[in-house]
Amino acid sequence: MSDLVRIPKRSPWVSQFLVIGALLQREMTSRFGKYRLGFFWMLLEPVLSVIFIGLILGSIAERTVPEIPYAFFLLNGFVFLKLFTGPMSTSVNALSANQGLLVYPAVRPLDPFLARFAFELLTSLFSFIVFCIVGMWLGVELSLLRLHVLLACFLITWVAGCGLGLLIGVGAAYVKEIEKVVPILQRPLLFISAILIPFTTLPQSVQNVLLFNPLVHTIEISRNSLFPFYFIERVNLLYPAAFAIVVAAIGLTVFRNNRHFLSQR
Amino acid sequence: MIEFRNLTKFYPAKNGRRYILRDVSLVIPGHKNIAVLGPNGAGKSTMLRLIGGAESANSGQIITDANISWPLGLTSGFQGSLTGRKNVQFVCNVNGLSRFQTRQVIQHVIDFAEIGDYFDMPVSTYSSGMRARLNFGLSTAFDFDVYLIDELTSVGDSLFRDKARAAFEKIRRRASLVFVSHNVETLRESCDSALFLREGKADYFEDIEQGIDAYQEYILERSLASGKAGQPRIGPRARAAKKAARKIAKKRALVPETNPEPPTETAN
Repeated sequence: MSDLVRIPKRSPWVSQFLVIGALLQREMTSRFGKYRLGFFWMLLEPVLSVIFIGLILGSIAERTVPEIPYAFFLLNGFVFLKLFTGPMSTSVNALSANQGLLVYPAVRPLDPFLARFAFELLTSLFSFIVFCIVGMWLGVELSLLRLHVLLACFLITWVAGCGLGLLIGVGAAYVKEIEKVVPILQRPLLFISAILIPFTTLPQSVQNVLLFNPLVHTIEISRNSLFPFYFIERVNLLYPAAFAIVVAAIGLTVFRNNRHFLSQR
Repeated sequence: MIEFRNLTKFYPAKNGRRYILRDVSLVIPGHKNIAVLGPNGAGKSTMLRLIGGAESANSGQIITDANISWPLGLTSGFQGSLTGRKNVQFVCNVNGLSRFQTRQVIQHVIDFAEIGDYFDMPVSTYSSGMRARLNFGLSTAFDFDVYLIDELTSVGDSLFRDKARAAFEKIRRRASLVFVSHNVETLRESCDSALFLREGKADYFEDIEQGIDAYQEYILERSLASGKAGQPRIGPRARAAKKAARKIAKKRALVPETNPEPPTETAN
């Protein structure tokens, strides 16, 4: 009997930490394990889309943003877009993909979501840092004086995406069709989030509508924090922050109210 | 000891709620091997999932100080896309085991499950017997006070069944079992008390024979009731049920000290 392993009782916080860690590890192996280049796809994906769009728009758009190298301008936008849409698209099947693991009493239905959200944040943060370092090495002049603003933009975008992701996750448990609808609804975000051209070059009437998109605010301010000469107007951090908090609160409440439904198989 | 306090569990169904447990309060004493009885859909697996903490009750509490395993079933517990080894590692990571302990658990699973190279293949490629081997091997590596077993041994080959029986013997000496099976003989072999579920109610029987009697009586009543409804196709079933009833009556006559009134009432 001596070879039996006793599972120690732990405090809720420690156990939560362990569960997220184990799920993150599982996420890494299943997400990167199946591709040959694995880990590098995380960096290649935004770079490839930048090259693609750069080839189409590059020469025209470059004139509109003289303060920032256009490639970096795009990269910044893409990382933020991924940070916002990533939690949403991964939470569609977060529950069904981890259904088998919910048997273990330590794993609650919210945990797969939290693990995937953490995964999105870590990968985006990592690729952004790599891009910044490579950019500086190539001679892009980044200002590092307002990193706290950049970090705030990052977190706000992420929390907003997570809140929406929770709502989508609960919805997908009831209505399977959400799986199909989410990617379609996300597509226009590329064009209404000032990713391809600066917000200030848009006509006033378009701006008035786009200001409702929290992503516009965080993307513009993040550009300004890295390139102080980049001109921003009419955007603030308060609106996206309020948006993120409200959406996250609603998402958690809806999740809690449906926890019985979500824990059954 | 496991105590249910005003436990209610229901699932949303087409018209209203379908109650698995309706305001059930009872105490299951420790160091007992409990057979969970009940017709299909009575909520036997749900009961295990509730005790194991995989599912939450709609109201009420389950109070226990025991270290309880997760429900060991055929369908549950593994991520199909990951290999057997990765799944075992996941369980170790979730519980925060050290590297040494993790290695110990993996070695135990390899020795017990005997699935060879499949241990490093995705679980989705396993047969149900291999899944059962992996699941049982994994759970016996840990020192639980209560093991929840959901029809686990019904798919294995005779080699695995013998192994499982030996493991049950070992477990019974230090811990208790909560056992779901439709095979009454298996239950008689390894359990000494019973929990009978039906229509949102749960009754605990100190003696497994009483529980089995109550269960068979209930099945009989139900089949007789559907026979009376005048459906000709129920005929043979009702006849078989009557035959079973005669058998029970005969058994009762042979053992006069059993309680003559229906056990369902004695339990309440």
